[in-house]
Amino acid sequence: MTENRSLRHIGLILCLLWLLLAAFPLYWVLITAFKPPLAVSQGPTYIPFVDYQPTLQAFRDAFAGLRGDFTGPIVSSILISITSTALSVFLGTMAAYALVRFNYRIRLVSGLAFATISIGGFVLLDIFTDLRVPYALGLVLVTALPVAIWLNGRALPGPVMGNDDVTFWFVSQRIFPPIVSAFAIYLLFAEMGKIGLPLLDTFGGMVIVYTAFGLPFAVWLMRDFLSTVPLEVEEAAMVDNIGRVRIFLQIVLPMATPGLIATSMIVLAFVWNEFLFALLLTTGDWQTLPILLAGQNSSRGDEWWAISVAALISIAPMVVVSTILGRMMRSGLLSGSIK
Amino acid sequence: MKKLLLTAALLPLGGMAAAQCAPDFTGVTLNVSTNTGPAIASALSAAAEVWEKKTCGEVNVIEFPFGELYPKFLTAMSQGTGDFDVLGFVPAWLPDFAPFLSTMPATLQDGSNWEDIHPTYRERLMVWDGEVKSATMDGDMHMLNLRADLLDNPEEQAAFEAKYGYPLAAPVTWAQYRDQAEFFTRPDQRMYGTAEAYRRGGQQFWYFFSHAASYTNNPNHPGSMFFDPETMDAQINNAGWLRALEEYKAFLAFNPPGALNNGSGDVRPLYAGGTVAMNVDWADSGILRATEGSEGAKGTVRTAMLPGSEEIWNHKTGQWDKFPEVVHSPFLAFGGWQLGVPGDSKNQEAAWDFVSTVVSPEVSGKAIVTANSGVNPYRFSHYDNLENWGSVFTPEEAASYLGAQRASLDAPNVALDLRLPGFFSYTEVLEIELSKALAGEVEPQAALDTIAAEWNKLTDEFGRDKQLAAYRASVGLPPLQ
Repeated sequence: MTENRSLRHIGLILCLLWLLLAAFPLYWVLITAFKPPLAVSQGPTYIPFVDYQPTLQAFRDAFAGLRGDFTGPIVSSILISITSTALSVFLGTMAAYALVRFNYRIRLVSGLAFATISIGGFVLLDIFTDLRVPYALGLVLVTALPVAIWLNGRALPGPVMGNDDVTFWFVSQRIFPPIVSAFAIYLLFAEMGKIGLPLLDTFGGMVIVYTAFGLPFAVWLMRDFLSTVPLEVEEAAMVDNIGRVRIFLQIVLPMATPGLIATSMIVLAFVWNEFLFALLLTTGDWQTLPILLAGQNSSRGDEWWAISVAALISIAPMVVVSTILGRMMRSGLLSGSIK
Repeated sequence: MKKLLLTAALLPLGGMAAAQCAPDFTGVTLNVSTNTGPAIASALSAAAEVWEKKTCGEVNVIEFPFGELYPKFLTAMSQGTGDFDVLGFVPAWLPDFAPFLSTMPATLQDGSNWEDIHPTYRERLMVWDGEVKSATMDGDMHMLNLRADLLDNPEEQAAFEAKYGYPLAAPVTWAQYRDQAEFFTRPDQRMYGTAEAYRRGGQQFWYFFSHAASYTNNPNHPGSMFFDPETMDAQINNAGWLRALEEYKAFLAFNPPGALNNGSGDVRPLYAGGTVAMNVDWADSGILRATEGSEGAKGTVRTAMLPGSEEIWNHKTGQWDKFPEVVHSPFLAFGGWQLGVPGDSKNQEAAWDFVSTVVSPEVSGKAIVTANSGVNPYRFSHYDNLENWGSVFTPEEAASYLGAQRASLDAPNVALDLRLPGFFSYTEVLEIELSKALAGEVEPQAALDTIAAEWNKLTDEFGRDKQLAAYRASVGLPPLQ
């Protein structure tokens, strides 16, 4: 008993230390947002009204647009994040459900054929024809996909990949750093713009990119959640002749709600804070908050008071969303599904 | 008949409306981009209001983080996306941007407004490959920012002269700068001698260049500060640069604690708040102290040219050239923000008209006295009109502030900042080694030797002949035969 109590005390102390470590940066950002420039540079100051006189000047500057327009990026971030999170979680959940319920067999040879025809075909078209990039890409993909599907149906030698391999392929999209694909996407969007389909600095373009960006997480996380959904419920529904789509939408999704919420929170956090794609793919119309936040470190050096205000403004919507989603998770939505 | 009369009556009204938009850019929206404000962006927004009223066009000011401006602008222009109509950029990038920028119309290169721009900007910074590719909207240089409450204090004067043997005044050499910095370093009083930027990524290399200009910008060998203007061999590891680095590092002792982490944004409030007796900085420090300084700061801003030297390194002879008087080599650090019009802009005429509005004497004259605009003087009219500064400075402060800037620009041995294709590549390796030397991880000479070797490698990668031609053009030398 005594040992248990001592261990609990040690655990409590460690938790409190961790709380201090985690909370202190937030406290620092909060108090710095209210400091005048001189209070920032003349040594550390910790307690408003005691160490320094707080001021709202940094907030006034921010909302007056002196440090960039905040309203536009806030709206852009909210709209783009929510839409792309919803799309990637929905599509990712569908993919995860398929990976949990169906068996896939994909021959490596057909995958290699797809890669060879699409990449090789694009290179050849680029060298020997004047076809614009989007048309060349469209042509090779339209050719490569049916060929690959046809080859997959043949009895060809070589390894056959299953569901785990497909899942890994999804997750592998997020293994390499975003910079690897960011510039290629920028070039593609620039070329699409030249043929009359503007994707740079558009809502649609950003949603497409962030949906693709969030899909791997959604597939990976939801696959685990959906594997815990009891099969008996679906089997009972199938006995009643209910189709797969209805089963997915009306039975599986409601039962996986906590997983959906958790996945949404994670994907939303990644999309909300994403910087590189936003920097490359937007200019003025759909610039997001991370760009504005980074801009506070200006050519005039680090103006910490302005950075702190921008950080607080950036954090606030996510705090609200995670509070709401957290309450939804705790409200016991998973109930009464199995009778 | 009625219709005819009505039309005849309305025509003058239509004419008046059209006359109000002169030139008429109704329906034109310009995308003007620069780094996140308030500096420069707020000046562009203020000019946009004037232009919109004048021309009925619209301006959209788009801001990006400073560190991302270069890749953002270059990728957009190189891909011909037409995203931007006017760019506010750093003059060091002009060599890389020039192929994608349109040339300033000849009509803007004429007249009293054109002649009002100081020749250093008009004939050098705005020009690349013989063409005017940009318009200066800001005049940047490093200066010495001093405090009259210390310099004019009789007790301080007496104590200084007693200790150092000469009167307390604006330092003329770096040795005098060192003496003053040492004299005013009083940790027990929470006061320090000086403040400079030392942090990597905090614009430290411009401060290093300010020191180096005094010892390497040889008037007998123009253009030999950074590279040999005949061979393009890097000069950054010669004895002049070594002395500059050793001094720059030694002066850490007179900076407040933690100075290795100070960027340019940190040195300003240190001066404005009275923590340091002086600093090296752009013109922002003086404005900040005058407008937001600590108690007792009112009326105390004094500005001087950067210190100079009586001996400057001669890269040809490998010896120090001695001069009978101190030679000042004020360094035009950063050079001053430029406005350019990308060649893929679909609104060339409107864009150049907007540029001419921003840099006009009326609009720019207001910007230079507006807090946080980031615009510093660059026209003769900016320096001559002292009354314009009444809202910021006392007459003594204004005279000192403007006098130092004008003297810097007029100095016969003024040193221009490095402008070369691949500027970032050169400064990146410089910052890495410079930081190591400042932290004591490597000896200064070893750091400079590494930088020189890397610079030579970069030059060969970019193409030595090409870089040499660009460098000679940037320092105002004719092409080599």
